[in-house]
Amino acid sequence: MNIKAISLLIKRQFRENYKTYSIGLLVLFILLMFMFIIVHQWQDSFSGAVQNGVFIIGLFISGAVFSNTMFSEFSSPQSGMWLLSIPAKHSEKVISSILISTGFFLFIYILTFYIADFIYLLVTNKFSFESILNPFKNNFHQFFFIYLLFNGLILLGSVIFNKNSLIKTLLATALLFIVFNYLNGFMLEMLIPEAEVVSSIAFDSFLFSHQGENTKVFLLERANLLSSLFIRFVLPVAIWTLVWLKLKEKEI
Amino acid sequence: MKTSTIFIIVLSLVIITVMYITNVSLKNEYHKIDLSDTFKNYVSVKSDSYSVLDISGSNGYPIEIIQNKNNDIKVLRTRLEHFKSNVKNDTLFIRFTGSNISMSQSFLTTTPSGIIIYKNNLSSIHITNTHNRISGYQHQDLNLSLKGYSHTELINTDLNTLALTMENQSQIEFLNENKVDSLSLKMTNESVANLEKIDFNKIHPVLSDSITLVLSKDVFQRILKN
Repeated sequence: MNIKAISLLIKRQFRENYKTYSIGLLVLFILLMFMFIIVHQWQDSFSGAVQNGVFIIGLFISGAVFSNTMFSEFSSPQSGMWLLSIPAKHSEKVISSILISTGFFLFIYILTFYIADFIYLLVTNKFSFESILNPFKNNFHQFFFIYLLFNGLILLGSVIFNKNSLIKTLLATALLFIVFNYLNGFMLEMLIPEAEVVSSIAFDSFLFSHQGENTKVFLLERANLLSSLFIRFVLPVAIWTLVWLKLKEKEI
Repeated sequence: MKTSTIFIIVLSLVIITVMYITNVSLKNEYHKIDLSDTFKNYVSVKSDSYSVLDISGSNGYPIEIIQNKNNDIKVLRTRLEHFKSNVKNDTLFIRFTGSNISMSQSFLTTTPSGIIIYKNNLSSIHITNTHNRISGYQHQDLNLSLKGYSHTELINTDLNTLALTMENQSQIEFLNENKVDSLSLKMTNESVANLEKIDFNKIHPVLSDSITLVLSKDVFQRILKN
């Protein structure tokens, strides 16, 4: 793997798409401001952590659209062949795409969000040091790790599907999520048949009802740490590896 | 078979295996819960001895402070991640954060207490931004310092002296029957005190700024006599 080749691939991505990215940045800013206006206009309906909500919705919508453009060349056979024929290893192409759609994207997204948040707080007279969103408060930063996994799935979809890849990927992801959720529920029922499981989150916790009272059971200490490591690091790396394998096997 | 297909199969098997292992761990945690226990939704947290309590954080879930011979701290299972505590000198510092939960949620009957603290003797309680219910304290002196957007309810107390210091937009309310021999009341900023349900012999008020006092006719007359 060559670092120079990766940097050249990153430069190529920006040179070829800087107009799209500039317009996209403007759209992102407008989208964030629009969401802030909505939550302010109907603040009685959106009480609580509105900034967190806007941050997550904006992150996943814009992140999905942006990550999907990394291999948009596959939407037409000519540009797809051109992408495959670029004199660089497939691993270098995947790594440059990951760096752009995670590191670069997150940096720009956070910057844009805080500008929009600052304007929102200033206009609504809510501005104070404490009112600015703190991503490290209440484990909110875990969404960055979930974004890594999400990014891997979107990249994978953009390599597998040639046409309408974003819609197909989102549908496939939703289907996968439903299947794993049912599988997790089925496993819990098999393991603890006496518990009346109300809901469950795979790799994390479940809620059961006993005499009308709901009780949450979650992983503690070492088990929780290992599960978090698997979800936050092992799974994203595994999905990115799959993106690389799929790109290697790609045929136009 | 393509390498990517083999990889997908292996990855799926790994995911299912990890899912199974985590569910076995959850099963073990489930069996640790005593279903007949009233406090099965709570986890007991150990702490060193203390006589001063310093609580700060969010006012989304009420915090109960109850006089009891058996000292204990119980934290709601679902809020355990939001609970941090440490003891310095003689003070137990509790940080109980929330996700900007609306304070009105805290007053709902369906909202359980986030923390339940059983403590026999407390000399001082410092509260910042949290919603607290202090009940049952009898025959002792108590210093109560309230700051930020905190809301405190004192329920069925019988104290020798109560030194109450209120700042910012903090609020205090006395509920049911409360008795205190000597009440020292220092209020600043936009703090609010509801003194309708407190019976006192002596009061020493130091009031400034835009504070608000809610009084019954009886309490008002007793303040005038003082």
